[in-house]
Amino acid sequence: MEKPKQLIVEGKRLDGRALNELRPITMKVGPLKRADGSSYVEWGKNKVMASVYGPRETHPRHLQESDSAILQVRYNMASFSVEERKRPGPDRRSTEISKVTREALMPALFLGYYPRSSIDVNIEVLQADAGTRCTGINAASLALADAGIPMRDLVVAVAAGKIDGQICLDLEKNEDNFGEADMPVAVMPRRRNITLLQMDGDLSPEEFSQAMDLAMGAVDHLYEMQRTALMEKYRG
Amino acid sequence: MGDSVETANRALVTPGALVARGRYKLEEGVFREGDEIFSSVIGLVDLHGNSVRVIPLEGAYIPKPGDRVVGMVTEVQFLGWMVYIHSPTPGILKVSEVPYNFDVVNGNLEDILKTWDLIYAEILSVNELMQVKLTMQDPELRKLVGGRVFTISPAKVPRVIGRKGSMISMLKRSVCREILVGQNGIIWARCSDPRQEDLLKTILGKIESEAYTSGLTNRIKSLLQEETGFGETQATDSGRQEAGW
Amino acid sequence: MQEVLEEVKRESIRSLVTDGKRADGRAFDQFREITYETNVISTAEGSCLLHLGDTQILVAVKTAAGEPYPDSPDEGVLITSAELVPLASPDVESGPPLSSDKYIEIARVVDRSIRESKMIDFGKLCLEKGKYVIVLFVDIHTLDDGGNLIDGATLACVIALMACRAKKWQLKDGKPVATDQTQPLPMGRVPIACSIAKFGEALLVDTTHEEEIGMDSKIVFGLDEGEHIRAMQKTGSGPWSREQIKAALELARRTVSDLRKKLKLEAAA
Repeated sequence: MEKPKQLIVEGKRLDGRALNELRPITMKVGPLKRADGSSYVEWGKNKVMASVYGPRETHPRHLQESDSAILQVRYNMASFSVEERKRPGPDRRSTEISKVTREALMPALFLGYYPRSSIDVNIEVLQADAGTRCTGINAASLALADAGIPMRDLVVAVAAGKIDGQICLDLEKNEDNFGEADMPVAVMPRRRNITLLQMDGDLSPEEFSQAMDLAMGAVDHLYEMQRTALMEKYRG
Repeated sequence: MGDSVETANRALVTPGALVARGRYKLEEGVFREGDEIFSSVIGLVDLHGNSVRVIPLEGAYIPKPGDRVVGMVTEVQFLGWMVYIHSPTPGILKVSEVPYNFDVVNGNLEDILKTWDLIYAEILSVNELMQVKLTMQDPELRKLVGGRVFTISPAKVPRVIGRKGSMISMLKRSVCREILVGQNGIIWARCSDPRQEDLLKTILGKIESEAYTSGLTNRIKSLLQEETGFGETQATDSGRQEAGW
Repeated sequence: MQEVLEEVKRESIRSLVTDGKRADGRAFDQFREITYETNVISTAEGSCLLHLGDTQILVAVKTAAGEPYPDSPDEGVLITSAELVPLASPDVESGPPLSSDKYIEIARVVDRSIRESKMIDFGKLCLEKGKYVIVLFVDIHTLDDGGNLIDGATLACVIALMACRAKKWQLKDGKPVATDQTQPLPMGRVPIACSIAKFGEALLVDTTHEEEIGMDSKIVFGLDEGEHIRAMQKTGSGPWSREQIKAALELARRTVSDLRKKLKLEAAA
């Protein structure tokens, strides 16, 4: 698609959303039978599935830690998840996202309860439309809770950004491609601890502050969605 | 600053939910930050007396001393065996913990237990490195021969046992006499008729998927009545109370 | 460690089969329930999410323009791959070759059924002989391994291809360009795969994951609408006698015929 003349027309974005509006999100807990914990999240056109295996014996053995579990995260995009088919397998982008996702989830987990074991998180992007790392983190948080891994708090994630010079929430694909900044954030809602923060683009300090406000403003809503999805599995 | 309860007893909570404030004794599924006590898992709040805990609805088996488990020998080692107990770290059973006069010089460990043998053992100790030691020093602990193995989520084991053992007694009376329920979620049964083992599997499946609903005990009783012609006639109260929560 | 637990169940499964039973109460020639949804992935031209009992498989089809194989300069190309997805089972670890050969086998066997049954009329996928043809990428993504991945994947691929709204490619200034129009793929016969697992003398259809641990081995039969065999693969160790293979083929033919009626999987005239 060629760059549209405007991404915001009369206060509304190309998909009809207001600047501070999230895309439609659904969350489901426990769709996979073999995993210890799992979840499926649809966020706008993103479709992401997450699974958790563990705590279990660490493979390979030499990675184990004597006083706590290790957390291994694998973020992967299916070859068909993007318009231009992607070659299967990890690339540098997914390696980086795996790392920052792991660092976003670690502070929430009581890893010390399971020395010498491993907690393995898999995030599989089945369909992508910008914001997959945030969707993945929400999915991983649900899957970890579903697996019964003790957590200090759930972890939510959302991105804010800048398009046509204006700060807005939750960029979709065209906005991400043609906008001026994209800033994913992950938060442990109870104490507002930020466990992931990345940005690419151009933001002045005021713009950064506005973007953070927008992102933090969505935290409670996402927290409530995760809690509802978890409880729905049992209330069903 | 007084003690206060912030969630109803038996409420379903998610990780990070505020459960209570003050000087409660902490049991499983909760942690303290300053004056506040939060849930660490998805589970049911349980306040009794001065203690608070959240009973997890899911989760791996974490061995505790005194737990009796069903396990499988995976390796014969030096003066003992490594045993799979369905938990993040395996259990170690030393030959000194087996009631058998073992000749250290001439004896063959495989004469006692070999790989793939099923055993009913007890957790002797767990250290801070999660190294688990097992024992079989009790007449009830033994090698298990024949029979069939079932697994359920360890969190659901209390439901299979029932309050004061009521559910498991009922199953032993109405389905099959030889049933051993491991705290680790592995259950072994040896029935005289394979249909009994099928029935047991159906019941365990029901318990696994309906553990947190009320009236489960009654539904199981009806099922038993239909299938075996045995059954109890008294009704019981709400499902959750049956498990002693 | 899950593997250990499964070994514990192996003997149970085998003794059940000896008694003529299966853990989930099915008959030996009974398939689990199959449900599916098509076109669930909007970034793909065709897709199918299939449930076969506890097994969940997602297949997506995408087209591209590319070079033909040298020995078939006027035919389109089919590339089938099955991705190793750690979501699906505790045994899959990202990387080690041991688990990945299972997935490579799945892709190749599924590919064979589709290719050899001439399900797609590749002759109609040529843009310029010797230079440009349509390449069909069929990607199999196992989400939950509840057993019988090959049969499930073949079915999901077939359904995804049948539901595919492929981009229409055209030559513009000598180069292939995708237009906004779509069209169905040129279809031929529709293959169905049926794997028969052997437990001693007993033959079982549609094995669960646990049954696959307990079996001797299995043979996959890829059958077309005339019930001709288009592909076969013995997978797993454990030898078969000729009589056993003959019996297995019979069982496969009957089962496939039932499945076709149930799922109404016939190609359009």
